[in-house]
Amino acid sequence: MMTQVASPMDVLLAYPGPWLCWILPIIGALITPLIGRVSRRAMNLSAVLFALSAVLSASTMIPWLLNGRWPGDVRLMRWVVFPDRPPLEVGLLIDPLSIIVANVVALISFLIVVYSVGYMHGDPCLPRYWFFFLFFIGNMLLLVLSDNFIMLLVGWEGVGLCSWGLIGYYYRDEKEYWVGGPPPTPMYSPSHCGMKAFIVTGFGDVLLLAAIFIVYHYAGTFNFMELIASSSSWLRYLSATPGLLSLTALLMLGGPIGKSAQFPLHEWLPEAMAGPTPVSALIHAATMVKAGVYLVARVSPIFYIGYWGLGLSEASTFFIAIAVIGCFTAFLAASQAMVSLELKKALAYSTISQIGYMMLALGVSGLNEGVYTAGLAAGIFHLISHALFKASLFLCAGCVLHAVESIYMSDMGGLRRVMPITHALMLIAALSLSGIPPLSGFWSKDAVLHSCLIAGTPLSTALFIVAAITAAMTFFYSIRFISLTFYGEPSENIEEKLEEGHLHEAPAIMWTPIAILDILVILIGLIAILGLISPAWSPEHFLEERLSHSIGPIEVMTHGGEAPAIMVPSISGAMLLIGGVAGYLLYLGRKVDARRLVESSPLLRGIYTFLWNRWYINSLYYLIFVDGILSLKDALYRWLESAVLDRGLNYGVPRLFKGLYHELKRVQTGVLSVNILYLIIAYLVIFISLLYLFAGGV
Amino acid sequence: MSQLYPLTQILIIPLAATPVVYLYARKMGRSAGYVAAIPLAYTLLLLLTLLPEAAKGVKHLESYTWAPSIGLTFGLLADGLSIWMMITINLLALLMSIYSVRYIDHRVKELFGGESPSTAYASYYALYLLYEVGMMGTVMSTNLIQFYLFYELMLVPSWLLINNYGYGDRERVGLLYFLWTHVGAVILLVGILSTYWITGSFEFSALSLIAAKPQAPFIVAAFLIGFLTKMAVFGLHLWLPDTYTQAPTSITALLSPAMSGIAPYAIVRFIVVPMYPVYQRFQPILVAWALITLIYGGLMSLAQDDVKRYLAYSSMSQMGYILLGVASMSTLGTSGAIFHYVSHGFGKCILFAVAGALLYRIGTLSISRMGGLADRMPVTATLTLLGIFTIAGVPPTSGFMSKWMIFAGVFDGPLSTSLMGISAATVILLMTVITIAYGLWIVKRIFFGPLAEGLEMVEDPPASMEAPLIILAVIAILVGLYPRIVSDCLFSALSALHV
Repeated sequence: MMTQVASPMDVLLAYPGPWLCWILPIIGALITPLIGRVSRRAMNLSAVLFALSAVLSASTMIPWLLNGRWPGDVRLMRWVVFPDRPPLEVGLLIDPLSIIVANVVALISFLIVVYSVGYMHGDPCLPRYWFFFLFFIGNMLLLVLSDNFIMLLVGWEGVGLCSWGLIGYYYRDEKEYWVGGPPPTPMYSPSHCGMKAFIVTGFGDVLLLAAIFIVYHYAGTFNFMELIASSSSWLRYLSATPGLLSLTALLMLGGPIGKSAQFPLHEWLPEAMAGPTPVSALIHAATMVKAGVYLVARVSPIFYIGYWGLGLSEASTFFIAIAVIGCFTAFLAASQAMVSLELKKALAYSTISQIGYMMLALGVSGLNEGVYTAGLAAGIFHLISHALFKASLFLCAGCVLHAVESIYMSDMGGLRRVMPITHALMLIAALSLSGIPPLSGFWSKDAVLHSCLIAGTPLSTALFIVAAITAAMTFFYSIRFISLTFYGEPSENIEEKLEEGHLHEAPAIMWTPIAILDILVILIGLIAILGLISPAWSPEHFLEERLSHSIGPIEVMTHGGEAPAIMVPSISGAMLLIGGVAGYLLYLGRKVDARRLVESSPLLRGIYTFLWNRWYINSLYYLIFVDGILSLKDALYRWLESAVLDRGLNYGVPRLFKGLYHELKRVQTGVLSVNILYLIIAYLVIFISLLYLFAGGV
Repeated sequence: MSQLYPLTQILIIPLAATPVVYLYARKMGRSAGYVAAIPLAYTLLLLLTLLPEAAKGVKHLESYTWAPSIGLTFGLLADGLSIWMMITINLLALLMSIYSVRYIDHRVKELFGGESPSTAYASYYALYLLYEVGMMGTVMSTNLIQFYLFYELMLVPSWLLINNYGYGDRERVGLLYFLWTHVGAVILLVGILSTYWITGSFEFSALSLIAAKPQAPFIVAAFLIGFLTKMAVFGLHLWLPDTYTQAPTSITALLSPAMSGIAPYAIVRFIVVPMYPVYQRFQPILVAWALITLIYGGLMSLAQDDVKRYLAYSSMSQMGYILLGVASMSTLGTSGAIFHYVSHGFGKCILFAVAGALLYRIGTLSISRMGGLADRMPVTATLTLLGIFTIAGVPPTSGFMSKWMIFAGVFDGPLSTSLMGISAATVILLMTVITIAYGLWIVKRIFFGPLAEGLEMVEDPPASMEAPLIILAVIAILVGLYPRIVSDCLFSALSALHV
């Protein structure tokens, strides 16, 4: 923890990597569109180079992570100086958590940028695309690296802004870019979806703001390290008001719940696919939704100290709430992924569900004193592995959509012969998503389940069961979307395209980045196998060891509850079997016709309708927040503003005076205008009140 | 520096330039806007030279004997609290005078047809400068009478400007504006006279003397009603929508961001600082009032089809924010309120000027007849977005800085003492999502979607209308990146407020 008096230049020179890593993409966002005025090729090159510069600068931090000595809090300059409190400084917090997340963000964003060059080829609005894209990356890295809440908020809002710009990228709202449907299910225009994302996450952001300012009121600082270091005093002070610590914990979670699309603020993410597909990949894998997970991990030490260090029972609200919300969301979203018709929507629900797993791991980490590092490590491990396979899945989906020109899986089918590379790449990623060994997803999902199990409280056991069931559902919907896309008979749409000779494999610039992602997925899985032989190789152990240091001043018990080592793999294996058999019968092998099965039973049909209508949550929100507010404003405008206030006061009162004036005119044919009369009355009223005030001797 | 009497110059030079600009405009017509900009640019430079001192908490005072019999001096003051008010007013006036060149030319030709009288230009710019002097004088005043005189001085030229150059039934609207704010001012006068009656002085310093007197709540109430009328909070806002809509756009771009914001400044100067304990009793009412204004203005702006009327209600809603900051009774919140005046000034000035540009190019302000304009007017669309982000508090604009300070202040003041208060404050914050909603919705309706019929040939406004707005947007972002340039001044003036 370094508090420096060095000049800003010295700080920049001493730690160039962390600073450049977010500044360069932002500079790139400003320069790249300008280069576009000269040459398109140069513009694309510039975008790729700026994204690469972020990767390179971020990678300079990796040695710190490996050798276990990192700079900590590096402060550049005073940003806002308060009269009665320590100043707010521009600073970065470089510790294992931020180094890991920053590198994941930078690398995956870079690969998506390369892919975009191919995907967005020929788009006339490319300068705007690159502006938002690079600005997105820069803001996400700023969010991850900042050492205080206010700078984090700058990145946080910046990410929201860019998501708005990119989701609503096709702002002309041509019909081909609408998502949802098919009718009668409502369809939404891209600009509508962008707004929805910004407003729904805006709700969460406001809750987070409230939490930050409550904490600030008691702690007097926005700096993470200072908050952790002084937590024993300000947490006690804050918890003196009963209920306040719980409230703060819940509000603090509001931001992550919104950004990471967790229940009840999850409804924006399925529509967020209205943007170009690389944008979906960026939002789902590298940026935005990961911000919430990061923030929960970042602030969880405060509540851990409060609960286990200071014995403040209300601090556990934080962990219980996020564990329950995460687990429920994982289940909720997985259930909807099982019926989605749009390929990207299935992937979107899958993201919500997987983020739920991460939140669950971070939540259970506080339920047992000894599980903290295991839970934290599991959450971050799953973040990394999900980032890789989900980016791969979305980019593959982009290749498919590009080729078949439809968002519905019913317009696909049998694509594996036409697009063998995409098929292979997407299959690997989908298997990793389902948790098939030895891919990375298997290890990280088992880590999550394991941390649930060893927490050992009744709640965590219940959550474990739900999470395990969700694992079965995950495999089921993975098989479903892979089968509907690549296997089975080609749909009419595909037949037509084949005849016209339009269907083709994606170009190398698009599949190479995906291949790199898949190689990483496999590589992590292989390293984890080595970890079985020697713990030194285990990614989970490595994360656990490194992350245990970032908590700060208190000692963390690293070994708490135990569970038989074979238990989690065998349970998740059983779940895979259930999901796999069901998926095989219905979709891959087509032994049973899924549609006929649903129609044959009223119960199944009911469930299907319920899931298809998104548990009716989306329509309920629209009813209350959109239709409700829109009709309220009309009613208020018509009945209060126009009828009573404007009519009454601005027309009625003058008319009254006018009437009086006509009466008066009979007596006195002067030049009194209504206005002067009005004024005289005003003065009279005031004079009388003056008399009342003073002569009356109040 | 003090030998140069910068504040006196700031007042005198635009005043002295008025006849010059008038005569120039008689001869040369519309280009007088550039001439009017010269004295304003000079005074802005003078103000900037005072900035470093103000940031350190130094008060710059120039005073002259006025009426010794009642101990009245004519004083001009610039300190941390007022310096950014003055810079904002001056900057906006400067940029809008350049913007006016093409805009008012368009309006005058509309009003008078082909052979427009040169007096129309002349009186516009003369009144324009007088209006600026009125606003600056109000902010610089050191005593109540002087304040009142300037307060009325800014009213008269602005009324005439609306009356002569406005749209629609401009005479009625001008009168409406005049009466409402004038009645507000008169109630203010009651407070001023009572203060004199009790303390025997008109100086601001006398205000702290009445804090302990039993009449203090009544005086505070009189001040508040006077200022809240100018601020157009809910119930006292009825002059606002018509005025902002029908006033010539270059004037609305000053009315809303620059003028109505003088009221919260005055609340801080008159009430919050000298009479803190008395003010505390009004806090619950003010918080509630701020909240109602904020939400009501937001809902009303959602209901509008006219761009300027939409912006008018959005101004009302933003005044709710500023009032919330003032009502938070904390150093952070009060500073945030004045800071937000600055941010709102930048953002709302851009937006009203954009409305003027739309009128200039399209000839209508009806949102339902627009759509898809981002293709045709990319610069205007970008400026609109930046304006909306500045107001909605999206980083890196200055609005982000000012808004979080207001919010932090709400949780830092007396509201934070109980769980109820904190929950209430949270609900207040939750309501603020509506500002993002109405901001983005109008962008969607005007600029996104398919291009509306008949707009195929529309393009961005001429450079003299665009450049001032680009400058403002850049300044808004720079202040957002380096907020200390504003916050140091405010904190130095308001640190005594310690809560």
